[in-house]
Amino acid sequence: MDNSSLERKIKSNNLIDTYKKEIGLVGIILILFVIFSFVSEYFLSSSNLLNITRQISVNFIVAIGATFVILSGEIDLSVGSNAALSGMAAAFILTSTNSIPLAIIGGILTGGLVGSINGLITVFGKVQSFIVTLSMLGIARGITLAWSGGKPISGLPFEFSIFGAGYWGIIPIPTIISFIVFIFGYLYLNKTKHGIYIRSIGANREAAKYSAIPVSKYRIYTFIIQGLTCGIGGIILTSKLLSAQPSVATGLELDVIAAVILGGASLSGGVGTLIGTLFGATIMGIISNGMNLIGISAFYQQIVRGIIIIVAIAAQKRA
Amino acid sequence: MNNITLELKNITKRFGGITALNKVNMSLKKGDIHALVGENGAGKSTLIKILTGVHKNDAGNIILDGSTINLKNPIDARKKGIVAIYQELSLIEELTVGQNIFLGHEPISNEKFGITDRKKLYKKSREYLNRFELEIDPEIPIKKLGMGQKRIIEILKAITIEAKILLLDEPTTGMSKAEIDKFFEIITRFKNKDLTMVYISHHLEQVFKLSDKVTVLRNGEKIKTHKTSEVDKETLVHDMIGENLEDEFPDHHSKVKDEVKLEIKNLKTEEMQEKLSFQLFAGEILGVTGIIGSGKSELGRALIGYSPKQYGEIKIENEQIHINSPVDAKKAGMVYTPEDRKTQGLFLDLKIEENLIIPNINKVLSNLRFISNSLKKQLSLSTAKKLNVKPLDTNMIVKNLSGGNQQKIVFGKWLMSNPKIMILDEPTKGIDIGAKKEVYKLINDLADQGVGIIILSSEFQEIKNLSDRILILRNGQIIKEVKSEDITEKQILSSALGGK
Repeated sequence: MDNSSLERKIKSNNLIDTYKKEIGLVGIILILFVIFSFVSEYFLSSSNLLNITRQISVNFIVAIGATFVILSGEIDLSVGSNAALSGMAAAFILTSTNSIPLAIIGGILTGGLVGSINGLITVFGKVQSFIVTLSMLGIARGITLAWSGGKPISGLPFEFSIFGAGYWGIIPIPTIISFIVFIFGYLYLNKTKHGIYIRSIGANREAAKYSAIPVSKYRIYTFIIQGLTCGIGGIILTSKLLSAQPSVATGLELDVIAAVILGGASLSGGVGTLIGTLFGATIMGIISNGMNLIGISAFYQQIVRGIIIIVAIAAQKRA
Repeated sequence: MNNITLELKNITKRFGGITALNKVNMSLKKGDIHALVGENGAGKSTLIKILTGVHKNDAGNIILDGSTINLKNPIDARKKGIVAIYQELSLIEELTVGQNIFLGHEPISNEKFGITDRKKLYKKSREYLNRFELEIDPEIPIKKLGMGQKRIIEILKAITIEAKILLLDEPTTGMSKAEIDKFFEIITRFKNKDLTMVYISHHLEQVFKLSDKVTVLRNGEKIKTHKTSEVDKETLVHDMIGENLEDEFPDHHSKVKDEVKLEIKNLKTEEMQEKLSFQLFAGEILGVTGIIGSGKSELGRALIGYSPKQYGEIKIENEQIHINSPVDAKKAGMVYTPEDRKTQGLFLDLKIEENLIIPNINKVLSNLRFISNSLKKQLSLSTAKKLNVKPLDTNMIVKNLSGGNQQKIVFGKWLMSNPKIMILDEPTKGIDIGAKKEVYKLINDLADQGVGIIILSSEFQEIKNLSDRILILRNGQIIKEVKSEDITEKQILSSALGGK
């Protein structure tokens, strides 16, 4: 067989193989579409679909960061607290300087700082990231509560609400922000050497070290990326409510991890894609949205969501 | 002939379009140690998997003690007395020797609550250990045992469930020379009229030492069964590869140049026992050998800065270099292929392409620092071709390659980086003769191009035939430095062991 035909053969096999999981996820999304469009005629309306993209934006943005952490074989449980702290920091800067750009930069950097602390302790302190970030979950939330005295910072200028509640035409601004973060994340993961290094560290850390990859540096990077996405998520949350709530985003870590794992990533590292995470977050969003439309109580929603996640992941493993 | 315990008749197994086993016939005599040899991919593993019920044969019969049997799964095979002992041990490190031996069929003191009887467990364990004159305390945890003893316990575990047929797959993997000798001695104690063993090994000397009969497989077909006492190594190798042994090592016309490529002075890291000093010349193949515990791998890791340096100087081409990590070493042109390709050398779940490209990612970046997919494909395909990787499909997941092809990938990922010095730790461990030959040729070609090569190996034949110069290590010290033409394999072995 000559080279070009061999390569063509490889390519066609490859496409199906590479996107097997994603094809399955699209299938799940379609099934959910069919079910919910039968039970609620409003579900398939364009305003509701755009609404879903807005509802999932924070979860999705933070899940993009989590994809990197999970790919490298680590976990970050502190994302909810980090988002709350970052949102609080942004509100604090905004009220004291009245500058929206400074508030945004400050909020994102706060998230990045918390992430880098997680990374440094995990890598150089040689403590499991589960433990480090579980502690950080408490610490960051505690700082947020202590800083604010448990009360929200409100009275933010109305212009600030654009990031969480604004629209560009009919498209929600948070949707646009999450799209931009996704594009950056996608290029970073798939088109730069950083991305392939992070994936290889998760696939086999020993082999990565022997392959002359600066393993420690890139492990810390993943936590910083995660932190930055928490910062962005926190700003959107603060903006949406026009106030920084100290208890916002409680439990976000579970939704984020569920989205990433639903998207086909493996908690042991090395396996996962951002397209998968996009679909994972979308599935979670559709389920919540659809159940709200039908009027299922929030208590039952949690049960149903849990069951659907388990069934979806179990089905994937079989495929 | 009712002393035949297991008979295979016309066993055929296909995977997709590939015939892994083609009408294989084999019969095992009760109480024999029957060796099974063949290159990687010859069908040994498939045969074992059929015998243990992991795979189902497409055609043919398995006849155990005169009646045709149907093996549904490994548990079923185990019930029928067929037990395999794989290279990866199935012992639980934290449990004691006795608990491991009786794992799953512990003596019970109270039927109703299923409480295990500790006293009885250790008493019975002692009986078994004594029966085979093993001086192992059943109450210590498995993790305190060496590899050789662990393997023995694994076999003992099989014997307690009254295994009739024991399949041993490369049982001496990870054992030192001394452990191997001890292991052989014990294996012969296990030998009796009721226990038949199938012994799979790449080490022909072990086959000669242990087995009564030897069956050769090649490309899924049975070539021949010999009485071990009536066959010699050349015949076996010929049966295995269809070629003569002399071809195994390439003609090495030494092209050592009179320029020092690498100079080490008093190098020591935390894990090294002693400070070491030596030189490596351009185009030279330096063989470093010694038994397990001699400090070979530690030296390799020290050179590339894998473990923190305590003392010493490293000069590459007369320039002092500070190496604190494999990243520094690679920058300086010195690369290392680790001993264990599965856990250290490869990303098993990634593709060939990714394995080859990851250490050389800078070569496939565009001006915008983005990875170019076409460059990635092109470069990995040309390297895979140069290495003669089979199959030549760079999208193949590395886990699915044979050991020899995996080793070529470990080796090949550094070819692209044009190293000045290559350190190869056990470059042919567990790979078949055909693949070995290819690796040897690659090593030779590199040396001919002026690369300095250090081979860390415990295969003395390889050290003797491949190297220009040999360093023998013992307890972390260089105890002998010699040109390879001035020493025989036997002499290498005896110095490594500490003889004269």
